[in-house]
Parts: sequence; C-alpha cells; structure tokens
Amino acid sequence: GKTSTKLSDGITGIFTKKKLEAATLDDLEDVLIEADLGVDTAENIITALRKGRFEKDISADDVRAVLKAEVERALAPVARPLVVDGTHKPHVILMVGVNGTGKTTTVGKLAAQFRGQGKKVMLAAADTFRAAAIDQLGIWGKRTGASVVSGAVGADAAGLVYDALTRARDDGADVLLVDTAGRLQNKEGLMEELAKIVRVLRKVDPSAPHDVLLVLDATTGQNALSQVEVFRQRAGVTGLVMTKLDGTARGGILVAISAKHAIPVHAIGVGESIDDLQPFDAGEFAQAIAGS
Amino acid sequence: MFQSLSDRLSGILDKLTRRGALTESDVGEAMREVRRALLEADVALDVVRDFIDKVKAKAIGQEVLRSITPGQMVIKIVNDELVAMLGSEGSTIDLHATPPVAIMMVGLQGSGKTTTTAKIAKRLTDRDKKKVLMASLDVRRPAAQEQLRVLGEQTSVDTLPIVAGQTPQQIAKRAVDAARLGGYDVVLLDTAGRIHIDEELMRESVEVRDIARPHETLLVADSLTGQDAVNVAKAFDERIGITGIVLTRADGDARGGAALSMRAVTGKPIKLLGVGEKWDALEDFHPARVASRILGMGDVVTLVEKA
Ligand SMILES: Nc1nc2c(ncn2[C@@H]2O[C@H](COP(=O)(O)OP(=O)(O)OP(=O)(O)O)[C@@H](O)[C@H]2O)c(=O)[nH]1
Ligand SMILES: Nc1nc2c(ncn2[C@@H]2O[C@H](COP(=O)(O)OP(=O)(O)OP(=O)(O)O)[C@@H](O)[C@H]2O)c(=O)[nH]1
Ligand SMILES: [Mg+2]
Ligand SMILES: [Mg+2]
Repeated sequence: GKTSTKLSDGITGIFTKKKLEAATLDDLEDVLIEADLGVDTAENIITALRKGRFEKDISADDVRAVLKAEVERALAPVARPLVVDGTHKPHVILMVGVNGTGKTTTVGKLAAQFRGQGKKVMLAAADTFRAAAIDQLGIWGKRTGASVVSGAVGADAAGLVYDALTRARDDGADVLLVDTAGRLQNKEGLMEELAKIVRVLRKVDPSAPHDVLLVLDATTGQNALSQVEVFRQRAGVTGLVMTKLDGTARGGILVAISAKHAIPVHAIGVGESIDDLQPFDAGEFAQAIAGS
Repeated sequence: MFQSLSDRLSGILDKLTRRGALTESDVGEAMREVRRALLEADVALDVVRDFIDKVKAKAIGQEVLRSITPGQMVIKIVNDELVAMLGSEGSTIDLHATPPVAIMMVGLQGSGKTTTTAKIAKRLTDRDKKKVLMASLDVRRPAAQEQLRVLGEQTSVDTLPIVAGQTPQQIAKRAVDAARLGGYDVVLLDTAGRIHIDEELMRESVEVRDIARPHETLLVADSLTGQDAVNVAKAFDERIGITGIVLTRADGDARGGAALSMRAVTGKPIKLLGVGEKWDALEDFHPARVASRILGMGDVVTLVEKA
C-alpha cells in the first residue's frame, strides 16, 4: 500500500522515550494535523488515545498501532463498496464535485470496472461547458467500450441528461454514468444547475439517480468538509471517491467528514490510468496516516 | 463554517480593560487561538509555528493604541505580519528578456494550468499588446491538446498546431522555434499535470525547461490545497525551479492558507489569482486581501487601520 515516510519518520523521532507523555501526544496531534484531519478531529483522536494509554509503558510501534486503530475505528463504518446489483436498469450514477478533482477520469475508471463485469455501460457527457470536456469523455468511452451520449458545446446539461437516460433505458444499458462539469460549492447558479439535473433524472426514473458520487481531491484541505455539506444538500450525495492518493497528500479530511456525515467512501484514485481505482480500505488508509 | 479570529480573541483579550503594553501571558493565550485559526485556514503546520514565533516576538511589549482593544491590537500585529510574509504587491509576470519570452506552466493534475495558460495569454495579448503563442505539451491527459486549442480559438490567441506522436520535449522545441520564426513576443508552454514525487515526469519537466529556457516558470496551485501545499511547492521549486506561483480557484470559499505555505516555503512571489473558469477571471495578487481572508475577516482590519 501507500507509505508515508515523512509521518513515520516523525513518529520514530517522537518515540525515543518509552512513555506516552503529554508532549508526545502533542507531537502525535501534529502528525494528524499534517495529514489534514483538521484541529478538532486531531484533538478528538488524541483525547481518545490519552484515555487508553496515557502514562503506561509503550513502544513506538505500539503507539503507531494505537493511532492507526483509532483512525481506522473512525473510518471503518464508512468503507463500503459501490454496489450495482441489477435492480435498476439502468443503474444511474451521477458524478459531482468541484473543478479538476477527477470526475471524468473516475467515470472512465468505473466504466472500465463495470465493463470488466460484463455490463453494458453508457456515459453521458453532461459537462457541456469546459473546453474539450466532451472529447475527453469520448476518449474514455473508446478506451472502455462504453457508448457516449453527448450534445453540442454549451447545450443545456439537464436536457442532455434527460436524453441520455431515455436512451440508456431504451438501449437496455446496465449502468449510466453521468459526468458533470466541475463547480465550486459556493456558486449558487451552478449548484442550482446540478439540482436541476437531479430533478430531470427523476422525471424519467423516479428512483434515479441511484448513486450520487462526490469526487474529492486528496490534496484539498479543510474546504472538503463544506464541499460535502453543500453537494449533499443540493445534489443528494450518497457516497464519496477520493482521488490523487498517489501523491504525498494523506486525505485525512475524510476522518473529519466521516465523523460528521457518516457518508460511505467507495473508492480511491491512485493514478491517472484506467486501473488506478481501488476500493476504499479503512485499515490501509489509517495505516498511511499513522505511518507504517 | 469557522470562527473568525476576532471572535476567537474577543473572549480572551477584549475583556482586558487594562491598557498599556501587551504581556507575555496575554500574547501566549492569544497565540493559541491564532494557531488554531491558521490551521483551520490550511496554513501548513511548520509555517504556522514560524509565524507564531515571529508574531510573539513583535507583540510582547507593544503599546496598545488608545482607540482599540488589546484583542484588536493583536489582530493588527498578526495581520501586518501575515501581509509581510505573503510578500509584496505588484510582482507580476516579467517579460524583460529577449523575445520570444518563454513561460512554462507546471503543477499537479487538475490544478488549472491549461485554463490559466489561456487566461495569461489573453491578458498579455489585450493589455500588454504582445503577440502570444500557446503550446500544449500534455500528451497524457485525454484531449488536453484539444482543450488548449479550443481555448486559443475562444481567446483568439494562436496555438501551436498539434502533431500527433511527438514527445513533450519535441513539442517544446517546435514551440520555441515557431515562436522565433513567427516573430512572437511570448510563448506559453502548458505542461501535463504531474505528482511531485513522480520522478520520471519531474525529469521530463526538467528536460523541457532546459530546451525552452523559460524566463518564467509558474507553479499553478489550487487555493483549496491543505497541508500538502508545502511538499508540492518545495518539490517543484527544488526540482524545476519556479519563478512564481498562480493560485487558482480563489473564487471558492476556502480560506486559502496554501498561499502563505507556498510563499513561505519557496520564497517565490504569488503573481496572480485565478478567480473563475472563464478566460478573463484572472486577478493581480493583493497580500492584504488574502491575509484578511486567511484570518476569516476583513472588517476588523479595516477598523484597526482607521484607528
Ligand atoms: N495522480 C492522479 N491524477 C488523477 C487522479 N484522478 C484524476 N487525475 C488527473 O487529474 C486531472 C483532472 O482530472 P479530470 O478527470 O479531468 O477532473 P474533473 O473533475 O473531471 O475536472 P473538471 O471536469 O474540469 O472539473 C487529470 O489530469 C487526471 O488525469 C488520481 O487518482 N491520481
Ligand atoms: N472556479 C474556478 N475554476 C477553475 C479556475 N482555474 C481553473 N479552473 C477549472 O479547473 C478545472 C481544471 O482546469 P485545467 O486548466 O484543465 O487544469 P490543468 O491543471 O490543466 O489540469 P491537467 O492538465 O489535467 O493537469 C477546469 O474545470 C477549469 O475550468 C479558477 O480560477 N476558478
Ligand atoms: Mg471533467
Ligand atoms: Mg491541462
């Protein structure tokens, strides 16, 4: 899995002493802050640690294990795979998120996984705004053997989505992946456009969308919390994907998000290639935060 | 979502009715709140530590101005130091070199390089009356070259014709040659996004740099970035050598502490802010504005300024 040289170096340095002292706990809190857990969440975890082990003899490895266990405990309930079980035809997955997080790439990676399971997959190019966004999705369609429904540049996204779902249903597709334009959650007009896309999907199929995935970039800091809040409110987000975990960012904000929203985390992105999407594993993720 | 620094400090310092100099204990207590505010704004921990040390040294013993509270006094000192650390105003793109002046754009995936390339090209064309050529060296992301081509069309800026199968190094050479032959003043090189620990891709950037010999190498970074900002900025600067930073998505509602982190760790100026998706959404960097945003306030600073 991923390794975290910096963090583990930090911890090794901290635990030359044998006791989990107050100063040590402060240092541990710093390790968590540097992984983007945020001050409040880091403090909560350290408080839990303090209750369990304070003033007992403890080795560096033990501490790492305890820290990992504590983070894992927070994340385990939200680690849930994305399930497309054939109940809905098509199963509609709406991808949302702020600009550049990896929505289109994740659509491509998911399409490849579903195709690998023998499913008939359709992609809807509902980002009609960004230059060459339609071409980008078109290339992912070719790579994965999924058909792509697209319209004109600048066309109404909700209208395109309506057409795409109608067509996916008529063609008997198993999965429809809807790629939307990136939008910052403080842009009211753009968030309303997204809400409209959801309403239009429901017009065709009252049970759709069956999954609304918010794509979060692991390098994002505390703002990810507000992304979850607003996208959940306006688009009914049902699950998360965190991308770009192949860098040095730890994505610790997920711990704060899961504490506050208890929203499932389905998958992580670890690169730009078609097979760089992995199921979210709370243990591995916690390990990377605590250092191994 | 987060409390502003003035709210935090009001409980601690504003209840002091005593005037005169700030004591070590006043300041120490206040600094805990300053630390928290900066961390919630995503300023990197090491940078926060440095900052607190500097502010402490400046604040202890300072006379509190008559017209303001001790809390406001501390905020003023914090704000002034933040502005100082963010760097000076008016450091913009430098074109003082023999044309064609090459500008290379680098950064992580999805940070906004291609969009910013078009924005800068448009600004140099319209405002500075420069003849500008843009070239995409991104042979990795699907339709990346097409994206820049479309942006060139939208902004009426020339783009280097796309030749399938060329390496980024070959495109760089072709771009510089075309710019020279075509009598262009500026050639903008948009590169593929890359993770700073991807050794192969970082080496590619170094090779492109050595071919194009850019006068400006701009790190394009997302203002939503968290603690990782220091690792990213340090790595790109050490490996490729950047001359400035462009912070994108400043139109979001993040506090934008990454600005301070990146500036502190590289010493390189923040030159521009991206404030939207359209090609005109580019602004000059004003340290005072960014400082008050990091602190989550603006009014108090104005108030103190007037005092
Ligand atoms: N290293 C890395 N790069 C990724 C990952 N996922 C996506 N990317 C890259 O991030 C960049 C942006 O990805 P896109 O899929 O275009 O992002 P998007 O959210 O669709 O962007 P917009 O539609 O412009 O909002 C591209 O260069 C992708 O190759 C990942 O897990 N790791
Ligand atoms: N709101 C906002 N969006 C921006 C800004 N700058 C860029 N974007 C958006 O961010 C997304 C990614 O921008 P790109 O220019 O494609 O980013 P890039 O760095 O070239 O991406 P790669 O080439 O994949 O590494 C797009 O949706 C842009 O419209 C900005 O300042 N504000
Ligand atoms: Mg996209
Ligand atoms: Mg690009």
